[in-house]
Amino acid sequence: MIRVRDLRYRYADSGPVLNGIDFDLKAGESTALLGSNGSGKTTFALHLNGILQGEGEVEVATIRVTTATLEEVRRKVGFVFQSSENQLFLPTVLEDVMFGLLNQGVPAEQARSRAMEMLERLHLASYANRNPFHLSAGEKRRAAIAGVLVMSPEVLILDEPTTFLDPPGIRELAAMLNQLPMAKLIITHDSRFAIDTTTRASFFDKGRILADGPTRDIIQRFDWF
Amino acid sequence: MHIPDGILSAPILASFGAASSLGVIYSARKAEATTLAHRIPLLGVLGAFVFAAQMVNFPVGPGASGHLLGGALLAATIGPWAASITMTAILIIQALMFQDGGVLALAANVFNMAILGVWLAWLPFRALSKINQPRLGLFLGALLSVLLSAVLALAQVSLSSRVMTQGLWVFCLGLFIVTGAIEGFITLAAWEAIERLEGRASGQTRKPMHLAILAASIAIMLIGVFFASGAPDVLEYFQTQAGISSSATPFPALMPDYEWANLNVEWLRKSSAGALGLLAAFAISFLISKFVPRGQQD
Amino acid sequence: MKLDPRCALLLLLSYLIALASIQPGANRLLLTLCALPVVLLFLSPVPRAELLAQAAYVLPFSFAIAAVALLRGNTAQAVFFLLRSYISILAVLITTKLATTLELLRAMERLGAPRFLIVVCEFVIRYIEVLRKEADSMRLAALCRGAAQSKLIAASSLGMLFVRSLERSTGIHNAMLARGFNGSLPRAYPMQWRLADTVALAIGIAGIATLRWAA
Repeated sequence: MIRVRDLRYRYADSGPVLNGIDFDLKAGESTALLGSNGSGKTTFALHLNGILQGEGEVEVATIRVTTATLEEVRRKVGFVFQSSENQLFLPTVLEDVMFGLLNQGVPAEQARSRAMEMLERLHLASYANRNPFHLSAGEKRRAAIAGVLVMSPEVLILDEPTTFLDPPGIRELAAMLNQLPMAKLIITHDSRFAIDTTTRASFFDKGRILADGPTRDIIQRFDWF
Repeated sequence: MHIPDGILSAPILASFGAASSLGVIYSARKAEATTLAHRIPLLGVLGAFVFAAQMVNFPVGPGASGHLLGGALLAATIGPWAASITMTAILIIQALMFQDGGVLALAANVFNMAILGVWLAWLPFRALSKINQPRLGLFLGALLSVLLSAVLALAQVSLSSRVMTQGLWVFCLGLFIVTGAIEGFITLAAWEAIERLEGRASGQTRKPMHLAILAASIAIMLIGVFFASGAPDVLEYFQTQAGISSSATPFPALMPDYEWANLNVEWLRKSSAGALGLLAAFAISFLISKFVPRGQQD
Repeated sequence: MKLDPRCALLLLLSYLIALASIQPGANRLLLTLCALPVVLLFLSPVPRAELLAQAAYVLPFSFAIAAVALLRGNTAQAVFFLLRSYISILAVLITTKLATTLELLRAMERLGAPRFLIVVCEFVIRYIEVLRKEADSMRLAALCRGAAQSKLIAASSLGMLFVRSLERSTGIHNAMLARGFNGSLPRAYPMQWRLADTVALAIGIAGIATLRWAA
């Protein structure tokens, strides 16, 4: 599903952030990206939908990520950002969930009914016309995920999805993610959550992947509890 | 100065409404065509920033504090076209959600603060940046922007209501200069803090700055006083020309042989009474407004 | 039944224009026109007392003008400006209670306001509370360090708030790109102009014009 070879990237005003990353993700598989802050996890993930474009090869569903294929790639990759507040940028929840569909050219009426369906599925229907600011952290996270799921992506990337969630909220989110059939890439510091939601993990350090393997093994090996 | 509805006359609203509409439509086109990739969220979030910045109280003297108005800071950071659009958005939201300024009065308020105010801030900033004096340019720009857009607002109000006197003009002008200088200081301080945070700080032009700012303030004050002494005549001239001077209350204190150095005592008495009355009215109504809950619409 | 926001906006503007066209001091004519918002106030499902009190918010400004008019002995004008500004804001308040700010903004867009401007307005509305919360936590942090009255703290708070706003706008832009944003925001507002709106607009404008010019 995702195939990355020798990916390198540096920000204009600092040193290299990614130093040759090789990475594979199979369809339907769930992988956690672990590692300390600043190790390059988010920078790496932003390459998977072409928001950043470094040196090396990135393929999503056998499509090479280039400027020309961005639209196609972004249909296949759903990205849930760390800040729900930034992700939910439209003034009402319903419009935000419709945003991706409208960008794909889905007619407004159809987009509206599909968005409402998704909100109902995630128990958010009563918030449809509210300003996202007034939702709780967990509701915001679910609304952000709704806006991505409604586009039926083949890969779901979640950047620190447990931020601001309380323990019941985290359990609820894990249960919800486990019901989703698509491939998932989850960036997280929460090892419990990683074990609950993924089978494999890759450990990032200074822009490299030090190791990958079954999630429990990786967590034990790097003492990442 | 946010003019509410119900004050301005139809001709003023129509002419400034036309100017504002053209200005905003053109600015929107220019701002949309800038190269800033994330321009839509940028403008929107900075608009929200201006609202939030009003919560940061800035001490400007013993017991007094002001807050950022924002036009100059926006012009200096995102350019005049984008700043005009952001300021227009702020004014629209203030009118619709906070009852700050009228809806029809947006015709004048947008012109004063989002167009004239932004460009008056931008031009000195740009000109003085070229000769390596961006701080002085920013200060002057912020001062001029607040001062002159308030003067224009007052002119619109007095042309519409025909109740202003010469003394009131001088009084208000003093007020505007102080407000402008405060905006200048806050804008400058915020701008320097932003430069520090973004690692672009350079302290080389700091020392001569204070003198230059002082000199600029005094110069503007003098020019202001000079114009204040002439302004009502100008206004009355326009009223006569426009054929709207049939008011029941013509300017009583206007003397053809009037000179600044030769103050008429009668005039001074009247105008200070006017100023005192104004102050009292402001104090009373300020207290009233404190007890009236200021609603926010959804 | 709810009116189309465009109809509400057009009626509000027509009413404010009619008010603006009255000569200062023509208080009887003004009083006649005041009947409209007052009638509307009692017919509409709005919190009456609250709106009547809120409208007083405009009074400081018009008191100043009224005070000068009074000092010059022109009571009629003083009353006129107080009444006209009060009744104007009352009309605006009733409109903003009957239609939301978002609906009114979108009505403006449909009536020809630049889309770009309206989108910026929507972003401002979305992020006002978010940034206020951020500013508030900064103020709290400054207070905790015992520096409520420091220019330096105030300046660096402003600077920090600004820089964070810049970062936030980049984050938002990334989130937009990730969901296929290609430079123009799609629109999906159901706004339906019905026969009832045409009738309401016609009756409204006829009523305003009659009270203003024929009465």
